Amino acid sequence: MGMYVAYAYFSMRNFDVRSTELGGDLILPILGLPARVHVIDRPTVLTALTVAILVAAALGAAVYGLVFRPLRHAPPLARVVASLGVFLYLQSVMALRVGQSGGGAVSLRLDSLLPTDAVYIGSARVPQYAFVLLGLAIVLTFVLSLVFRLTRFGLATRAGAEHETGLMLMGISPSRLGFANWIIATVTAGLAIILFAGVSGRLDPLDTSLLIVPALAAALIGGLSSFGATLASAVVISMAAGALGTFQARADWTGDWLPRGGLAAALPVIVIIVAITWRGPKLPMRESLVEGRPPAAPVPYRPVPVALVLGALALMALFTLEDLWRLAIVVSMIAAIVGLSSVVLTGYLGQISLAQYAFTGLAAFSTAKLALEGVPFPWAPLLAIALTVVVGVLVGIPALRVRGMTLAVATLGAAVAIEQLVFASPELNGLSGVPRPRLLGIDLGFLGQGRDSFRPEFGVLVLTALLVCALGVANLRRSSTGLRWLAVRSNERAAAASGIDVRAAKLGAFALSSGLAGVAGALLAYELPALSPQQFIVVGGLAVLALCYLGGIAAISGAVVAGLLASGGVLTQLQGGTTGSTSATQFAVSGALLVVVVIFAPDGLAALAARGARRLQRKQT
Amino acid sequence: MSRPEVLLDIRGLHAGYGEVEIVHGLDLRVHAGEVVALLGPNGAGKTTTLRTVSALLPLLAGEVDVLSVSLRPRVRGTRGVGPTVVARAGVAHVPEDRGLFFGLTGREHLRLAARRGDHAAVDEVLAAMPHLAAVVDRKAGLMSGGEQQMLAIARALVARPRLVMLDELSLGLAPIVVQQLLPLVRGLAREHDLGVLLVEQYVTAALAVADRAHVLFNGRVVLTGEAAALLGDQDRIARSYLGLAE
Repeated sequence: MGMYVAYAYFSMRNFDVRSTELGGDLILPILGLPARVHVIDRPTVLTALTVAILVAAALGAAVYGLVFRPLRHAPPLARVVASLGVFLYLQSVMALRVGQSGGGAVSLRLDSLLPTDAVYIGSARVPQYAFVLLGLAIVLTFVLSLVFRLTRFGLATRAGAEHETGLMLMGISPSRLGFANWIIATVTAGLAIILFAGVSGRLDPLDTSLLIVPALAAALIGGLSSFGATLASAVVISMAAGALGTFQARADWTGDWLPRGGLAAALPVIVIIVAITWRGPKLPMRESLVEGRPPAAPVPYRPVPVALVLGALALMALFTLEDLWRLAIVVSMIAAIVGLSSVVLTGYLGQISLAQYAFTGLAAFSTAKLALEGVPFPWAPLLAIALTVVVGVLVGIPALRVRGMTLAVATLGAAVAIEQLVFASPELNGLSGVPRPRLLGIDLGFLGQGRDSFRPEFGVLVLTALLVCALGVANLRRSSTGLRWLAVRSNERAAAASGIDVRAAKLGAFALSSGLAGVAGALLAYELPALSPQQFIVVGGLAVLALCYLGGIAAISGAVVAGLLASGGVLTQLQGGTTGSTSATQFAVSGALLVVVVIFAPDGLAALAARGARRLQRKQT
Repeated sequence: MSRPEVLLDIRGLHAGYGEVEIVHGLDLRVHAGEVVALLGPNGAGKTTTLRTVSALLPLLAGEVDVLSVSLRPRVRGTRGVGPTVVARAGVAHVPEDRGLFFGLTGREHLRLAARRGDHAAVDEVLAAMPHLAAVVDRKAGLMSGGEQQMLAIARALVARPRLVMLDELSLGLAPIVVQQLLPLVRGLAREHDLGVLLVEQYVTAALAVADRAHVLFNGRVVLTGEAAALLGDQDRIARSYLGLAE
């Protein structure tokens, strides 16, 4: 919980600070308030920077006070999800605000401040400002590490990361420290983003937010506690990325299928995951034991009758409602299967994975590719699911050695690697015309002709898959395997000590959960008219975890709720079915809602509803 | 002769965790220069009392005045002052788990605990504890149990407190170490006119250094007396530990 985590977290969403630089206007990241406030008439770089730094500081204080201070005793999962909420909120609001004021990306130049002449090192051309930036980074690193090593403030911060009560008994307030550290973190990250944008000359919310992956990776190499090591690894990572980019552009053995820039983006991340995995302990140390209560994992209530009733209802809806509703129901059911994959892995076993949607995408692309190559229906999806399980287990290997926040970053890195190496491949762009699934002579395809454009037969296929998956997960929760997984979730050391094979539990959960994600992906391949990489971007994985947490991360009903809430699903259809200009606002609202749920109802909406129902029942009797 | 100042005044304290009340109506006073022992079997409410005085736990009922601070919330239903306020008023609480930071060296602990600008404090405390001085530049996580306990006490003293509360000083320590530490505490109380509230399982050792003692059983005081008198009548203490009426 120390300062460094805050530091790492924050580079993630601090990109909004950048836009304070525009024409003397300040963009307010609060819904309901005017989009812009005029601050300075004729901003110079210096005054604009000052305003930006003040805004960054205020933002840091606000986020800590409103979100992370209330969550300071919550388990890591809650804090990860809360940061996703903040991320979602800020990103959507900024997209909305910057979009409103013309142009998605904003150009911003600091050329006047930095020398742009080139220097040659060997045959490589390096602009002078690179050295200036590196120098700045070194100075900043040096100052920060001096502050944290030598001052009372730094001592107290390091102490508070370990034992908050100990600090309070010495008369030092942990919240005040928290505020100070968050402000330092946001200002640092804000400055970095401003410099980055100033050099690259463009600002695009998505672009800057994905900077988080290499940044976090660098911080992880530094063990989240060394400024120097973080700086050094950051420099090495970015240089390696540059070199790999050049290498791939020149080498001809890599083939056409490999996306351009794929190696540069993916390899450093993979190397880092391997490095932190290799270094991590097999069992958690004493200081990293989970604190706070994990979300409730209720034993499913009479799964077979409930499944029969809900299944019959869904069947009726599929055959009687109009085709747009049919589409919405199918989308929701597939999303619910993705949700189940998170329930198994994150809910039951407590491993935070941000790669679930990447698994879904992988299965979707492989199914489509295999089917297009002529593999017949039940085999194409089955092969694709098997492949996804293999990849899922590989991605799960880091979980044997790293946990919590670090694992979340490692899986995020894996998702980025899958995206950069596979989805971005030119061979996979715009796959369409996937052959219709046929079983025993029955056409199970989704798209029909004329009025009946979405055929209910495909809905039956999806419903069957969902029911089988849900009943399987319900059975798992009631079995001794499920109990073992829950034991690992609440205390890995104690579980290992009582004879539970933690390795087997983790790899098993990754296999099962990537398999579930794979089922959803295979269905998506037949549901979507065309597949494109944009459908499976990394942010999708964040949204999956967020939605599942909203529904209830450790309950099957939570996955169903997540499916209903999913974009394009039943809730969207209820609201009138349009996803367009309003969706950014929706994202922003759901981000804020997510934070509220994490703080006030950590068991999710499904549990909230169940509790309400029980209370009502008690009142009636 | 003027009576010594009252540092801690507990009247009718009810304390506990959430809805579970552990301490039911405790009265206790600690004067300056006095060592008071709080004895009793596991679950009697000793640690709960200390944690409540430090404001780590909310007051369920009753009144606690500790130094210049009153723990009763000014507005009913709100939380009163926080632990940082109590600590700053001059209370040093050494909790049962010692509350050390394993990643920091001993000297860093002392620097952090000393008041701003009070550079002499660290040297004074280390001069009084030569055993600690020898290992003070090690990380706390690498110290032995006894060294850690000494560090915890040193950290409490370096802030120049008026009232020191020690929770289970002897926990996990060899008896010989305890017999060094307790007289040290006694000496410091006399020298600096400190009040000391000592929670202890090791009854004879505690009574040997204390002025007065209270025995708690199931959240109530069942026996109170001068330490010297109780030391001579250990049968009564044994009976009180077993919850037998006198």
